[in-house]
Amino acid sequence: MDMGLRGKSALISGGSKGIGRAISIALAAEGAHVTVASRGREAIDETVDLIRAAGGKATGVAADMTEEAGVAAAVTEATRAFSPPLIAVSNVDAPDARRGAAFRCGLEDATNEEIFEAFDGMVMSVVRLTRAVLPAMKERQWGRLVNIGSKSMKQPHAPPTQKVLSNIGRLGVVGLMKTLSYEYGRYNITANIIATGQIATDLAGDAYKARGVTFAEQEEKMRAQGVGACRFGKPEEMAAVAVFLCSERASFISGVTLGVHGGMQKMLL
Amino acid sequence: MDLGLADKTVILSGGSKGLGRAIAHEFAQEGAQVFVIARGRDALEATVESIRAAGGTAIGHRADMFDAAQIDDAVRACIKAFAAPDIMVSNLDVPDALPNSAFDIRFDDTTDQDFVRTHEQMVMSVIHFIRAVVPGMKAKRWGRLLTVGSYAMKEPHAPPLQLLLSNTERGAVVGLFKTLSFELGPYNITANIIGTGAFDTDLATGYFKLYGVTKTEYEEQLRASPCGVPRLGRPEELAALAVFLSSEPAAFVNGELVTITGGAYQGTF
Repeated sequence: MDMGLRGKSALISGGSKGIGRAISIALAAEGAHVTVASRGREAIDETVDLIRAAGGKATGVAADMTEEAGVAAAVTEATRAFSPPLIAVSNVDAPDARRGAAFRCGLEDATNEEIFEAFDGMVMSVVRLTRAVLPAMKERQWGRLVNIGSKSMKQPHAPPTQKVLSNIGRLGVVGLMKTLSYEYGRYNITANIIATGQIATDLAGDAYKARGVTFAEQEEKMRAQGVGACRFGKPEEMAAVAVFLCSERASFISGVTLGVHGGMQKMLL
Repeated sequence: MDLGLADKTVILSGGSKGLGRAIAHEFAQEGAQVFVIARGRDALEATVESIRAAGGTAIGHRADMFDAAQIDDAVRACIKAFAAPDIMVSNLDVPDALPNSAFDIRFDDTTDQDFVRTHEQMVMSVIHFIRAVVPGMKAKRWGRLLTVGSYAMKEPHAPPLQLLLSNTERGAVVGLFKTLSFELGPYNITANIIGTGAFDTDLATGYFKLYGVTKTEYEEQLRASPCGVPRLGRPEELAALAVFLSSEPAAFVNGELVTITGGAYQGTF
């Protein structure tokens, strides 16, 4: 299927590792001009090299995409190397992850400052990125806003791994993306969320390791339960969905939170 | 994107007109062999001819998919002509009128028999179709079950056009597909639903008439609305989603009800 992405400028935050890297690679494979923005220079360079070696176009920028200056630097680099982004994938890790994979957090474990900080990192980061890319999208009458969210948007993290910070922040992003889908549809700009299930990334691996479980052991448990695919998803499977939502063909899909969990999330809607 | 559909066998009901016809074309374009089922001879022949003219592979088969024996015949004919179906797409029109052709249906106007009849047509027919195709999919350990539903599965039709019977049965189809996603996931079979919004088809034009507006007037209302993509969906856009959900790269999308409404559907999830 021709996704109609040839020559489109795409900015991927957190685009150097795991799911973000797979999305960067998959968008470039469809001919998009990819700007990889994340914090670590080494992983950025690796991802950009992988894309270029496969014949794709990419540039990288070391930036903290949860900060205003980082967003500005990334959009500037995308514009310099290619053109203003018409595709913006927001993919920042949950604040809990930054505090260690095994972090468990209830309301009384978190200070108000930490909750504000989490809101800033999860919700305001998407607000800032959106503000930075909207003018060009409106002018070109074409845009794709995709947030890499979590299945916890439909089923907030419960004990034993309760995460009050991301439980609050994730739903803030849902309200934001939904509202963007209302407001910018007339500009042919869509706004969608991918609610990520259990995907075999290094980040997920660390989280399980912290609980003393390997991927193989966890998949064993999945098979014993017998619900859905009974395996971890691959980053490429997330990337395929992201590419489709960014495609020309998906122009009428907007305001959707699409779960990618292999049927292992039981919530009906 | 290579969707991995070359030589896959698709069995599609309601495939000769509107959305179904667009889906049939899209699958054929991806190299699948398409077994198209419909009731009317002329539209069926026209669809099959246009697929073949475009270089695709298709066979037409006349059947009433509300009739269990005819469903079995259709699946047998597909197996004989092509192979056991890898992909099943169920696309039925909604038999949502009382015998006196009332569409706006209040509970007091109905008999139990109205519910039983609608249940047979909207739910039991799909169950029968699934029973006929799942053994082949299990044997291959690969399958895709897709139903073209309605966003009314999330936001049931309310007065002034309360479609009580289909509101009830649509919900049952959601429960069925969700449960199948649990149970058949281990066989690498996915079960998903498309929650269709307002599309530019003859059937939709008939719906607008029930609301007392012409298609042109409805489109004007959309353009005047500040919410979402201000136009009707194009059948090709729904077809792209149907084919993507049936693809190899979408293997981890399972148990989802994906709305395609241009952002018009306002539910959070």
